[in-house]
Amino acid sequence: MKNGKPIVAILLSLVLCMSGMVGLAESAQEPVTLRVMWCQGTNASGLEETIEQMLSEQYPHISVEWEITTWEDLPSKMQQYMQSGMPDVVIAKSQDANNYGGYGVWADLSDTDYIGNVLESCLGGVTIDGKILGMPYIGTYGGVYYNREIFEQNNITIPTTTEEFKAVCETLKAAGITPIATHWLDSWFLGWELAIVSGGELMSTSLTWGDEFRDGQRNAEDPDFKASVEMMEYIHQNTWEDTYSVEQTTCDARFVQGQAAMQMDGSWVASNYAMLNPDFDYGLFPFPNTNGDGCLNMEPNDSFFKSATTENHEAADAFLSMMASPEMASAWSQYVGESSLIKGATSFATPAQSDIGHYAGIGLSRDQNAITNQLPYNEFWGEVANDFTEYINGDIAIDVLYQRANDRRSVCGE
Amino acid sequence: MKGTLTYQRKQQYQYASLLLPAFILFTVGMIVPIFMCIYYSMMIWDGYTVDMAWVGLQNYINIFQDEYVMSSWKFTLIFALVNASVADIAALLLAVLLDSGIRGKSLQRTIVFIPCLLSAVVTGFVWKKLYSTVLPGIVSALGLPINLQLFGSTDTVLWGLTIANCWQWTGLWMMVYLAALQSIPPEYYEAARVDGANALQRFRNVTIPLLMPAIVTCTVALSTGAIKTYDILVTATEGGPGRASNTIVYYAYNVAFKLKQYGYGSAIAITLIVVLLLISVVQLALFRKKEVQL
Repeated sequence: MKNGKPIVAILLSLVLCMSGMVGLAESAQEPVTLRVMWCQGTNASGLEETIEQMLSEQYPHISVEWEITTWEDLPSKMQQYMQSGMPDVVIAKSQDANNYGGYGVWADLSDTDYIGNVLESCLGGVTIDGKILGMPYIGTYGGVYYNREIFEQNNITIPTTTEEFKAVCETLKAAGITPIATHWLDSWFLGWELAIVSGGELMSTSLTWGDEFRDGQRNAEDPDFKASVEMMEYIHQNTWEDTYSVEQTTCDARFVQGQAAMQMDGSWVASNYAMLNPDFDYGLFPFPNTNGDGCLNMEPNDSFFKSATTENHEAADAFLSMMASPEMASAWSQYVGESSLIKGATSFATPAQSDIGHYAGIGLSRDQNAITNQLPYNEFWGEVANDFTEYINGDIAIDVLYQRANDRRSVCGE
Repeated sequence: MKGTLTYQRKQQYQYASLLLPAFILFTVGMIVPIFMCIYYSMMIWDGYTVDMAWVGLQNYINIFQDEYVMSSWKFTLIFALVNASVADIAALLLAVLLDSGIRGKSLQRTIVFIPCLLSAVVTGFVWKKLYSTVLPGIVSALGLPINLQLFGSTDTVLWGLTIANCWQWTGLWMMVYLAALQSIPPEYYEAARVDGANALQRFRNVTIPLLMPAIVTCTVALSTGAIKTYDILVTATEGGPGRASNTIVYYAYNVAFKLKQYGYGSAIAITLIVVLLLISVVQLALFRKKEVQL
């Protein structure tokens, strides 16, 4: 009996230790529900199921409460949630690192392991004051998508300058082919197109043109800005007459059917093209500018942000870590039909992929944030696009358009 | 006597307690936000930060210097006038038709009423697709030289929105008129018939005067509702082409949330409330006069 007491004591201690470890394990696996707000594009609808399936396999204690919204509704949502409590994770555009980073709503991801999975070239647009505030995930490449068959039949070479581009358009018109497909019923697209065309001209002059414009050193009457507006007018003269009644899906269908030779758009069209005609052969080139150094417009579209005030830091990091895996990134890219920005991921293959690789390889691919971080879309490009429509309709003179653009310096922030 | 007073007091308390939940909801949901809006309208505030700068009435002064406010008000008032007129007259005529002895009126009533069950956002999507793809396709297949792409031009966007908006809401107000028509005692029509009045004279001298309460309700609701139009624009035209279909509510929303000028947007919203109150008061006064005369 005397010898039994130490044994009993040891056994009791072991049992206590083990039950304590079980208790710790249970608290480590305490169910967590993450609130995730997603500015979801139409091509990503339904992707939540894939994410939840992978999450349940890797982190069974983490579940997601989705709030699906649109990027147009993000400002009002952010105002609401900044007052009432931010979601744990927000999926938006990379330019939202700059749009909202100044309010301190995003967590600094610089020291996380998973941020190392992102292509370094994409991190500049989400780095604000030396802090990486977002995880860029999907890159859309904007430029001029062209019908290879039409180009070959008409012996057209890829234009690099504005003059060469106009010559191509004249050749196509002479052959009875509408040069450019556009869909200006979608007002966001007109603003986007204006930003890209203008960005190509303005960045060719100075990479900080927007900052200099806000400081009063440059004006909308400068030759480069004027050239951008004139090009937009030229596009209007060389697209369908009913472009203000054409929306994205109709535009894509007409382009695939050969009702236009070129379509200036983003790589979100790739999945539509594939659905309409899997054998449709097309290429991509940067929108030409005066100096012939136009770049593909790379917009890190879907980007992940973690709330600086989340109470579920570990779960949010686990979620983002899972999203940053090549396996999940590949699934996302294949689903939405766009390029992944995660190292090792397999991007959706399109006929234009070789062109994207070519231009990116020779340094002719520019992060769209370079433009929109200086002159924000909502405050500047969207409003200039509305002015442009009024000018096209004859409601205002061109000088009024330039003056209004100058007046918007004060609302473009610092 | 003491017992009677106590009973009356008890009744008052009972009425008050029954009204209290609605009063609280109305105060919290309507009155308090209006006062908060008035407060914000005197600030420069981006809607995100806690910092606000007092500017007094400067935002209201800026409204009168803002060409976009003027153009938005112009479109809004024209849209309201056209939509209220078209929908009001169409609702009344449909109600008169359905109150007559036509066949299949239950089915027709249902068909006309169903669109008002949809959300305005869905209505905007539907008509955007109809105008951009479906209707042009039908017209093209029939070889007709008609342009039905009404959202694609600044000249036709007003009518495009009017058709969509009236399609959605005419059924609702038709039901109001129908209920009012069915409450008119048939003796009045008999008396008029005996006096030799024809159908048009009976409609003008019997139906219209007795429908006046319903006409007041529908006209005030339709005009103030049209002035507040927002939802359908979000999906139908986004205020375009350009700013051609920008209503004052749509502009105020964009100013507050997209351009991050919450104080200025609040000032625009307050002027909207004032205009709505004025319009309602004027309309009620005019119609009340009409009722007395008839």
